[in-house]
Amino acid sequence: MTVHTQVICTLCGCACDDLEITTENGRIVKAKFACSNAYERLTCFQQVRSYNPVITVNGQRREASLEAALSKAAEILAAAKYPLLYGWSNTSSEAIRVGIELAEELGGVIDSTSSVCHGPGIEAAHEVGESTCTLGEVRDRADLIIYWGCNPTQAHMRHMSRYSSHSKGRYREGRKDRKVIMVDVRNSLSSRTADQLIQLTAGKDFEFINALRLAIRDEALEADEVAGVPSEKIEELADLMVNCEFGIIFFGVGLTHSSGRDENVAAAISLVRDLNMRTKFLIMPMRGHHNVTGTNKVMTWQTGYPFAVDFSHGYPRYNPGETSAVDLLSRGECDAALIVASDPIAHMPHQAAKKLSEIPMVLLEPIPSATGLLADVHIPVAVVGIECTGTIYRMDGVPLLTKKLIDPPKNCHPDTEVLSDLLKRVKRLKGAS
Amino acid sequence: MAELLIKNGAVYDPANRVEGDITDIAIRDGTIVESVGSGAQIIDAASMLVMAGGVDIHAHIAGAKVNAGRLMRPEDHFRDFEAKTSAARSGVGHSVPSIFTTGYRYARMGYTTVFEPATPPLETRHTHEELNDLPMLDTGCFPLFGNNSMIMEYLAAGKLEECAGYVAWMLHATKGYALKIVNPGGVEAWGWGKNVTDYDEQVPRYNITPREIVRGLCKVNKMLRLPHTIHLHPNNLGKPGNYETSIETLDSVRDLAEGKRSIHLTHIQFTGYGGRNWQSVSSEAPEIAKYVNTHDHVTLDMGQIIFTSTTTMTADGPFQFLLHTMSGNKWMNTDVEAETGSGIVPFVYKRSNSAHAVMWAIGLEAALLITDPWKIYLTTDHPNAGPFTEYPRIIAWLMSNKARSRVIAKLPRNARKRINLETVDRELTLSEIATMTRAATADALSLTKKGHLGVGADADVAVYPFKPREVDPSAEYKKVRRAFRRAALVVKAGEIVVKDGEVIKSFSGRTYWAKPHIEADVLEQVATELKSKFKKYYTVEFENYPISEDYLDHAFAVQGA
Amino acid sequence: MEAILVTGTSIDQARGKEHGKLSSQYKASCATLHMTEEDMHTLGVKPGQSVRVTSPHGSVVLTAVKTKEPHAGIVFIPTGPWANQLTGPHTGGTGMPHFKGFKVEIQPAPTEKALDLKEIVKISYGKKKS
Repeated sequence: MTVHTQVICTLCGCACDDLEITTENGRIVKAKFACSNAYERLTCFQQVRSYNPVITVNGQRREASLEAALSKAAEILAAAKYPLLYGWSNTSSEAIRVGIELAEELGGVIDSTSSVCHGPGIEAAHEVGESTCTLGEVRDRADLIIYWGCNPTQAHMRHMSRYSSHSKGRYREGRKDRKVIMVDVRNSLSSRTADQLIQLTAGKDFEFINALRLAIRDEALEADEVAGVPSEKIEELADLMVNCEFGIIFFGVGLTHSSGRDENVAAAISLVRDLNMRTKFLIMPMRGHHNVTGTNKVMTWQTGYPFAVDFSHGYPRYNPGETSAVDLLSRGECDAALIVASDPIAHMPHQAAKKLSEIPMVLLEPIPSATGLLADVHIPVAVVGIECTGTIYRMDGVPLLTKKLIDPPKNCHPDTEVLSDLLKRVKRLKGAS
Repeated sequence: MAELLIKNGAVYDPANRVEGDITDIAIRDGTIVESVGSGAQIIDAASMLVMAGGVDIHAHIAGAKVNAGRLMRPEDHFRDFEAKTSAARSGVGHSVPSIFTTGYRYARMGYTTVFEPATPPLETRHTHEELNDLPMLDTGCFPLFGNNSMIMEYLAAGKLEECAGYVAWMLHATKGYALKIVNPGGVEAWGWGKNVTDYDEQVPRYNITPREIVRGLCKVNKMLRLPHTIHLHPNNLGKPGNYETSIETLDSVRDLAEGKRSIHLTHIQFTGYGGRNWQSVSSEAPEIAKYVNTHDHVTLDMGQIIFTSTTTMTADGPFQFLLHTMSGNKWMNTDVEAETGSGIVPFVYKRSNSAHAVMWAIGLEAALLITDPWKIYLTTDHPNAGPFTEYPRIIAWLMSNKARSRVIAKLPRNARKRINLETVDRELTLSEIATMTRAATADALSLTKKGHLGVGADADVAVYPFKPREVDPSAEYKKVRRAFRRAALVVKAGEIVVKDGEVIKSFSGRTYWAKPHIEADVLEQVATELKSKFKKYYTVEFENYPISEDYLDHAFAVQGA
Repeated sequence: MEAILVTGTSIDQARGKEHGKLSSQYKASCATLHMTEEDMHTLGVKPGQSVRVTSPHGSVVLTAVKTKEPHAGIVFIPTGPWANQLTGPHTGGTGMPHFKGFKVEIQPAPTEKALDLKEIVKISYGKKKS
């Protein structure tokens, strides 16, 4: 029996790195300090995971050798004119680096799940920038915390106690030293921990943010209410923001998914920027998957662009709406796909998922998924942070090197190895040197 | 490994006092040797200029801040891209190039070593991931220490030994090369939205001043016998009248030098301003030069302005916010817990703008008025004052009064009244250029096998397509500029990697890091103490903070003097 | 009855998927429509009964669940293949489809039951082009 300490969790963007995992005979038997989401994952995945590659021919799914699976996968990709390489948010940055080289070699598109998650926030950053920090700054200094369009008690369970409202910092004793506001269209469970819930009309975040921008400049609001919130309340919130010592807005997909999308985030970033004329104020997206931030970082340093990178002209091109996965698939532009560490059949709108299901598809994924039901080649891989090591990036950009706790099953290898193998085979098939 | 002989080149190797002699360079196993056998591959340099590969001491090329700059500026990439070749990966970027393109563009100019001068320790693993990807170059990075909470607390309490122990632990943990200090105390103040403006001002909530931080770290630098001096971006950067802060900062560590160097002040252009505001801003480069010419404990680099669209990015959070409010341009900011911060703002320097015109003159004046080229290095603080791809333009300005005059003639008249460049007719020689771009920078970094072509040196060699004996650089400065843009041949670690300005072979270089001079048991004690208080300062565990040597693809530890 | 639909992650969905997407836990968490007691009353359904939800992009049968979050007129479906039968692919040039805040029609569906993941996949997808 081995007790692994300071283990980095590879579930959500919190990347809590204080987990204590006990392993015995190659199985996880105990997971201390893990939130209930992570606990579920750590204790379940070994029961449900896939062990052997599967090749589907004429609708018949058959187990295959790794060699056969890699060979077929390489064939599919090398034969494609415009393949989509999608997912990446649940694997290491080392794997993503190989993925980008593969996409460049194939002349295809590489896109991460950020295009259906926080992509609009990144698009906003292109326009207006972003004023942010690492999580320790919030823990130590923040006396006003606003959670906007997110649900931390459910989606980022230890965020509040480790990094934000309920954490203890160098200059803040804890919850009582902070004012906590929830801004959302719904009264979620998280709002019960807040001092105040501001409930907006759905789809009206943009209007509300702009009203706030006026209010923080002491401009009078002509309307009686904006987005369903009375103007007095808006002015009160503005006062709170202007008079705090250090404020932060954590925002979730409530902003990026609803109508307005990138404009919502651009408005929120602009509000925060405006506040910096009067006090210290920052903003941070609540990134979902443990390495979705990593996908943007790696793609940006290698290609200049954070996601939806097209190599069809031999150099990186970027235009969300044109080169992003849902759009490419909806328009039926891609003729093959490599899906890594994600489940687009489950998470994309069904018209896009339908188009994806119609093209030859290779999947690298450890556990059964909707995409797995439709993949032509499914290669199960080692789980990063449990069965293999790899670098991940926390939601605030802090890099962490995850640990290997147990050996993966015999036929399951790290994504880096599988992708490197695929790259070699593809180069050979395409006759490149 | 193969043997290579570069014959008949006009060699400029100031470290070994070779000034244009037609000499052969013999290479075996990646090192410069006395001679090679008859089986060696022969390259005829045909009287062309031969120098050691360029060594850039200060360019922001990798890490969290640089990457945030790339992310914020897709428009910078749309207009400048490079397609994949059989030898090179594709990429983009004018002022903030992607990592592969960065390496290739440096290599094409004959550079073989480039250091990233500012990395936040907590995120330095990110910097190393990027440096692992950086092709063609040897490299290293300088972690930021000037706003570190624990350092300020140690120094405020007079605990110099403990401070040195902590810094030593941090160098091991980050695999960094030198102690970088940016706006000491000011970036911690920016954590509360404030700044410091006086060298002797108290940092908010800390019992310490910028002067004490700088002196403390200077002492620590000596105790740890690090291969480079402290590398400083002083307070009040970018503020008219700030030349006084620069001189005050330089002078504040004079007594600590003891006959050696004690400080490198970076991008002097940004901190050499006279005047009281942006209408009256003037060049005080002559004052700076006077100080440097009479004091041997200091070195500087230029931070030369290029009239172009570029991206400013520094760890100086409060200054970057100020630049955003002045320019109205978009703004990125990241404060890093217990350590530092950063800010990024795109910027355009215009020849028609009087303030920019004055700034342009300052960098050149500093380089020309400082008499010893071993004290002032050629940089643009890439990309802050301009992209590194414009170094050849700067070389032309430095070597040709005619080239400078053509620009001066187009500057706004009222700017011309506030600069001194018109009265400077010194033209630097190739020897001096070689010094400022390779010999001196390698020397400042104690990289004894770099920056020169003596026997035993690393075989990093650049051959430029112009013949010094046939070209007058002063009159024919355009030839000089073109030649330095596209090397005829570049050898890296004994392999030919660039030919006629094109990358023909990719190469993965070393990442240098400095091993501090400290007893093993002292380091262990530091680690134990640190472990007990780590969680107070950080949101990561003590065990997960350090970067192991094998994380770097090709780590190379350098022991201090 | 008309309502505004929000799709997104939920704690049960997050935990459900750790049991594998083919699991009954995943279906139990995702093939659900969360509505307030008030809305259920207006519609005439009880918790556990089937409802059919239709949007401009598609239609799906779900199990009604009483939500603990009191806000009439807004319904929630955890993200997954059931929710995505209703979401549209148009991204407005942003790459991001519309996952939250659009109108849907809800009807009781007493004779129908929510489909398994495999059934949904079979009906909606999987007709490979040759």
